[in-house]
Amino acid sequence: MRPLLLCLCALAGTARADVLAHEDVTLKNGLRVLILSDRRAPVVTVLTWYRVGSADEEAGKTGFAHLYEHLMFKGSPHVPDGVIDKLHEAAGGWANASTGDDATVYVDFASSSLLERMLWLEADRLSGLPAAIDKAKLDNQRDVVLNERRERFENAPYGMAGHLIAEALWPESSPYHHPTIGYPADLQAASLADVKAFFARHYVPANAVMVIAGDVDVSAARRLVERYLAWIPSPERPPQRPAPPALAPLDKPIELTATDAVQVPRVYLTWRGPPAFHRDEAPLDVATAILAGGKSSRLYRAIVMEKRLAQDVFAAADCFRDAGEVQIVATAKPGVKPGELVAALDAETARLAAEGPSAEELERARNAHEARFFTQLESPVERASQLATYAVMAGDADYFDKDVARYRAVTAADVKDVLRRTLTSGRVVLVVGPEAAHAP
Amino acid sequence: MRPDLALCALALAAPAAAQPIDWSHPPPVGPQPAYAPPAPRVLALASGIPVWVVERRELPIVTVRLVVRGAGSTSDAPGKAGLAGYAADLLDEGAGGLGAVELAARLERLGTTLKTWAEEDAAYVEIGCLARNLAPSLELMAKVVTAPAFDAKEAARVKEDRLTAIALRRDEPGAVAHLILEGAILGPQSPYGHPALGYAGELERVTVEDARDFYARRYGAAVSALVVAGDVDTAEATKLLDAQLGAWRGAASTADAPAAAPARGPRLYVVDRGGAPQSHVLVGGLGIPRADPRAFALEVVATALGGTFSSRLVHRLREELGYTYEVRAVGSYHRGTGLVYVDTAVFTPRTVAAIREIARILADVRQRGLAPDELKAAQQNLVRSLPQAFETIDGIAGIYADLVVTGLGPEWPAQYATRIGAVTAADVRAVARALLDDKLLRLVVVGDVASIERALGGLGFGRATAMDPDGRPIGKAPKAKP
Repeated sequence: MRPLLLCLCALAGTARADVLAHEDVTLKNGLRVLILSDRRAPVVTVLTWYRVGSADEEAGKTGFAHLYEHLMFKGSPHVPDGVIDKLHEAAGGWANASTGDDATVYVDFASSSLLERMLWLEADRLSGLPAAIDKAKLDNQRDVVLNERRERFENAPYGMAGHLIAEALWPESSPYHHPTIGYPADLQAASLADVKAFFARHYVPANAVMVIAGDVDVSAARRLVERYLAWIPSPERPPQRPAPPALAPLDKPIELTATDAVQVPRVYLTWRGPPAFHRDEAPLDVATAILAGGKSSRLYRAIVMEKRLAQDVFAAADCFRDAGEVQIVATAKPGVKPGELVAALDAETARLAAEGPSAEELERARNAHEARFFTQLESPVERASQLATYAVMAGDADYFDKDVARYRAVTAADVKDVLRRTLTSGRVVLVVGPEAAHAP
Repeated sequence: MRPDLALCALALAAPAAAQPIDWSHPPPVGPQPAYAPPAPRVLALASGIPVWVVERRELPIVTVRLVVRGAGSTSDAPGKAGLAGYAADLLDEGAGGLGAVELAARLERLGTTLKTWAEEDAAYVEIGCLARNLAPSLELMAKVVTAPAFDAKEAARVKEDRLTAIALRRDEPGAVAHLILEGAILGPQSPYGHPALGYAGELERVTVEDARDFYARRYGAAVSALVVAGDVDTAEATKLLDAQLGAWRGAASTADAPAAAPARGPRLYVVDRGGAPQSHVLVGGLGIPRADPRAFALEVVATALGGTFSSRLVHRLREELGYTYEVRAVGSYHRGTGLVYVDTAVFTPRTVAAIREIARILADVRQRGLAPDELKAAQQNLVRSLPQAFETIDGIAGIYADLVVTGLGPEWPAQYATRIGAVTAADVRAVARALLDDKLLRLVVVGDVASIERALGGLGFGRATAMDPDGRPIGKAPKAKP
C-alpha cells in the first residue's frame, strides 16, 4: 500500500493509438490536464503527476519526497484525516500514490460518479494542505515509512542490493546516488518546517500534470477542472532540477560484497545507461529481452538450463529522467561460486555483443514487447499512467505511435552497437550472499 | 516557532475570499452507475470439456486457461508433498515431439506466454497471446496438455530447481510464516495441510515416474474446463479449441472434494530470525470453503477489519500507532476449506503491543460485530469495486477458473452484489463468533526471538513452539535473554 514506484519509464508497443486519444488543456495557473474518455467500465482515474522525486532532495534530507507523499493523505484544514480514503472506498475505489526518483504520482480511482468529489479533494490538497500537518502526523508517518523501509529493504532477502549499487554507480553529486526511501537518520531529522518548505516549492499547479481517464464526458470533465482547479494561484513554475552533465561509463570496475540472511549468493552486474526515451533505450530493451526474457533467451538457456549455474536470471534497463541503469542479475545455484557465475554471464553477453542477435531473436523480442504493451494498456489506471509518462517523460503526450515505431525499428546492428557502448568493463559488480559465499 | 513564510506567501496570493469552492461539504455524488460483470457464454467441446468465453474485443490479446480439477496438491501422494506441483511444472518441459527449449522458442517467437502450475485444488495451463497468434499458440498449448514428454533429463533439472526454491523459501519471513500457519491450522493429516511446493525431504523422493503416473491418473477431459477471455469470437475460439483439444480424453474421471481435518496442535509458533528489524506476524484460524454461504459475510468482515485504508486494523496499527507499513485481514478459500488471518510485519520492539492490538480488535468484532456505518461502508466498497476485478483478461480468467474449481458456476459474479448487499449485522456477528474465536486462533511470529519471546508467552496463546524456517518443529524454544 502506498508503495514506491521505482521505475517510471515507459514500456512501449504498437498500434491503436486511439486508446490514448485525449484532450490537452493547460489552465491559467499552469496546471496541465489531459482528459481521456474510456467507457469500458463506469470508473474513473484521476492521476496527478508532480515533477518532484527523490532526485530533487537536498543532501541530508533524503527520503523526503516520499515521506511528503505519505503526508498528503493525512487531511487538510477542510478535510479531516481519513476522509480521502473513506470517500473513495465508499465508491469502490482507493487513493494511493508512489514516489520515484523523478516523480511523485497520486492516483485516485473510483466509480465515475465520484469525479467531482475527487477533483474537490485534489483542489483541497493542492491549495493548502500543510496547514493541517502537525508534529503528531509527521511522527506517525515517519514511523510508517521507517517500517516500509524495514519491510521492503532491510528485512527482505537481498533487499539492500539496489541501494548499494546506486551508491557505487553514481557519484554523491548525482541525483540518483541515494535511495528514494531515504536514510533513517535523515528521516528522523525531517521537521515540520521542511514539510512546509517542500510543499511551497514543489506542490504548485504549474509543476503538475493531471490525467483524468475513464467513464467521463470530456467537456463536462473540463468544466469541473476549470471550476475546481483553475482558481488555485501558482507561483512561477518551480525551477526544474538542472540536468547534470551526461556521465560517461564508469572508468573502472567496482567490486562490492555484502552479506545477508540468504541461502545462496546473488550477483548483480550494473552499468550506467541512457535516460528514459533516449535513442538507446529501445535497443537496450530488446538486447536485455534477448539476453534474459523467457526460457529460450541466451542467458536462461546457457546459465540456468545447460550449465546449471543459476536458479534464475534477469536483465533490464531502468531509465530515469537524466540517466539510467542496465542490469543483469542471477541467483547462484547452491554450491556455485559467484565468480564462476559472473564469468559465465560475461561470456554470453560478450558473445551477443560480438555476433549480434539472429532474425528470430529480434522477432521474439518484438512480439513479446508488443504483447506486454497491450497487456499494460488493459487496466484503466495503467492507461492513465502511460499517458502521463508520455506527456512528462517523453515530452510528447501523442508519443504512442512513435513509441511503437522505435521498437519496430530496432535492428541487429543497433543491438550489437548499444551493447558494445553500454556494457563496458566499467561497471558495478555486487555479490550478496551468506558469509560463506565470500570466503576465499 | 519560526514564522511560516511559505504559507504566508500562499495566503497573500490567494486570499480566502477568492476561493470559489465551498469547503464545508464535499460536492454531491451522482447516482451510482450500473455495472454488470462480463458474463461468459458457456459451450462445450466434443469431448465434453466446458468452455466459458468472455469476449473483450478492444485490445488484440487473448488468454486461455485450462483448469484440471483434482490435479492440485490435495492429491499429492502421502509422503510426497510437492508431487502435483512438480508434475504441472514438467508439462511444458518438452511435449508433442518438441524439446523444452524448442517449445519455449516457438512460443516466444509468437510473443506468447505459457504457464503451468498447481494450486491446492487444481492444476492450470494458461496461455496469453496476441489475437493474431491464437491458432498457433493453442496448437502448442495442446501439445503441453495432451502429450507432455516427462523427459528424465529435464525432470531432474526441474526437480533440482524446485528443491532450490524450497530452500530459498527460508529467506522470506512472510512465506515462512504462511507455511507454518497453514500447517498449524489445517494440520498434517489434511490434504490442505502442506504447501504445493512441497517439503525438501519429500520432494527429493519423488521421481519422474511418479509425475508421469500422476498426470496419467489426474489429468483428463472429464475433470477439465477452459476459460477464454479477450479479443476472440466465441464460435471461432470454440472451433479452434475443438480442433486442438476436442479429441483429448485422458484417464481422470472424478475430482473428489477433499475434506479438511483441522489440527489440534499448539497455538503459538516462533521462528528465529536473529536481529531482524521487524517481526512477521500472522494471527489466524480455520475459515470456510468458497461455496459456504457465510463467505459473503466473511468478505464483509475481512474488508472492515483490514481490507481498506479506513479499516480498523490499518487505521489503528498504521495510521494511529505507526507500528507497521501494512496490515491486512484476509479470508482465503479453497474448495474444501479456507483460512482467515491477519497478516502484518511490525517493528520488532512493537511486536507484542501490535499483537495485543490485533487480538483486541478481533475480540471486539467477535463480541460486538460491526457498527452499522462500518457494515455499509464495507458492502459498498466490495460491490462497487467489482469493475476493477474484471478489468483485465487475466483477472477475468482467474475469477471464472476459480468458480470452476469451487463449483460455484458462471452466474456467481452476477449475483455477487445482491449477496453482499444482503449481509446483515447478525450474519456478521455469527461469522465473527464462529471464525474469530480466540481459543482457536493460532499465532505465528518470524523475528528476533531472543528479544520478544518472553513477552509473547504472556499473550494467552500458550507456550511457544520453536520452528525452523522449513516449517518443522525444532524442539524446545530457545530461552529468552534474562
